[in-house]
Amino acid sequence: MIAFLKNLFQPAPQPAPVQSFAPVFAPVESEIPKIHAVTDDRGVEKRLAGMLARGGEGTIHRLADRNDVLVKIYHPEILADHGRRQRLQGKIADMTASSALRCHDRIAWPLVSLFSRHDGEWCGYAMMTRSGVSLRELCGNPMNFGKTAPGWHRQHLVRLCVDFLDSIESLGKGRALPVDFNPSNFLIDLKAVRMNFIDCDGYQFLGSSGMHLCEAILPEMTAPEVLRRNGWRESPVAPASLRFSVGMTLFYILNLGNSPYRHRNGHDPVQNLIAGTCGLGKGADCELPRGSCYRIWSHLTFRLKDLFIRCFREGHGNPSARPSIADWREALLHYNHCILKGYADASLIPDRSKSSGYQGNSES
Amino acid sequence: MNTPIEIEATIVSRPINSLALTFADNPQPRCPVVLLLDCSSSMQGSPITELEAGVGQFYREMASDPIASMSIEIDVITFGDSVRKIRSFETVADTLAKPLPHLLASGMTPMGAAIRLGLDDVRQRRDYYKRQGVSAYKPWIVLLTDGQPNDEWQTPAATARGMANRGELTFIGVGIGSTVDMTTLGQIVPPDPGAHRLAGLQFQNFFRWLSDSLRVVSTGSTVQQRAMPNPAEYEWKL
Repeated sequence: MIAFLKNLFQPAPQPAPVQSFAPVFAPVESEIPKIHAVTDDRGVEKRLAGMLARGGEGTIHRLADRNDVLVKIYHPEILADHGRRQRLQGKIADMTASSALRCHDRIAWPLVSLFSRHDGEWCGYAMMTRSGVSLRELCGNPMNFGKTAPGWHRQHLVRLCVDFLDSIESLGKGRALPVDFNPSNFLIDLKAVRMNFIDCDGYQFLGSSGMHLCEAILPEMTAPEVLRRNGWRESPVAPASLRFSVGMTLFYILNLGNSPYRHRNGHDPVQNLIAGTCGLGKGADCELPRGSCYRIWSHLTFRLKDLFIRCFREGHGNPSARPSIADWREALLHYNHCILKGYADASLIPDRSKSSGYQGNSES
Repeated sequence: MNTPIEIEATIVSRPINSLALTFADNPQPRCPVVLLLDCSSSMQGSPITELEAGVGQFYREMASDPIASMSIEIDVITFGDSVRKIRSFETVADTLAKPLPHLLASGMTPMGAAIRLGLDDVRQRRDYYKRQGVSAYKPWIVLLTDGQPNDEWQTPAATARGMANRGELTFIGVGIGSTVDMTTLGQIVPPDPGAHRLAGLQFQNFFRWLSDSLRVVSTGSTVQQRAMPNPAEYEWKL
């Protein structure tokens, strides 16, 4: 155990419409100080090093004397909201007490609550460093993919998908479910071809004091029934809704950052998602914009296509129709087999869409 | 955990043919940003030099971010002796090879015409995204001026405020120097984020805040906007 964190391993005390545009400038309250140093619940002080990243909820810092520990400090405007601060503090306290997940090697799980040196108020938490390239950076830019992940081909993407499914399953056993499937929160270890999960704010977690909900989500990856009622804030998101997001993430990986709700109608994919206007289909029924997105889709196996269509067309209004993790795993392993046998194109972006004379037609 | 898939070493990756990729093949939602730059004669000397340096720095910072560089598209319009578009919408990644033209200060302040051109560009760009099936973030218009408009500004300002009220636009005004008419600027731009006075010639701090804000945009949702970094942390506002 790292010495700093070992001392802190005490049980923590005690726990639309879719469009929303926050004011560009958060309310500036001069009495909220910038946090430069933190303490654990025993008062041991640690100084923060420079900011590494900024997200919607807070900033990430290294400790001045530790490279393997990261600290998340919530934004002042979030900490100034008393109710929200209490909810977050309670959630983090329960999370730090979870023995099943604090030792998980793929997740940046909260290990210790932290308090501002200035006023002693709770302000964030510490976690082990998880490294990698974000999924958004890897898959969101096909033109740079070769520089970001040299030598990768379709098998790497399939392996990443299977690894992702394995991690979702193991998280569920620890009573945590990701609700916010923002591709910026998945870090890819390019050498090991595996996925690390960061930002526990995006999790729904059943702790000893009750169910803790997710505070913020990325609509682009979220089930329509959750978006329609702003549901993630008020009640637990159901597993069937999470299966939608799992499908979206698999599509994002295999189709290099695209959404199944991209459509030749040109409407925003989120609006298409809510309305159920899905671009997926077979042959002439496919309404994806013509280009790399369409070419990649055409070369997926029929089994995978069936699952994606089931997830996003039939499953749009019928959550129980959405494929399970086992369904996806079986189809991905079959896809991998087809790639190995040469029945499926192994290139990241095929040069041409798949024709009916393609060798793999009967196999796939 | 299940046994991971073994990567077959004999499969050699064929490189992605970047030349074959089209506009729509970049799946990143686009964020159109219009810079309206006052190049009237009163900007001569240090103001125009510092402004140009700030714009160059902005491009470099956006280019250094792998996500923002494929998402942020910049349109640069200057207004002085005429209204001139010196850079049309392109992602920063596409613009890198072309040096930015020098900014020259001369003439009056046809701000209304510049705003009108910026709004037209934003509308046309959003229509283009739609035809290409590409999603988009709310556009930004950034107006930097050291004076007051000497042409008809009320109509384009009303249009811009209407768009902002409907959640279709972020329009920020930055006043430069001691002679800027902040009252009129406050009437031109919507109250959020409003009109703000630049501290001295802190263009580089302002553009650093702008690039960090757009980084936040480019990793978020197209239908939600998070609050931007606090300008006070960047020390560009008076």
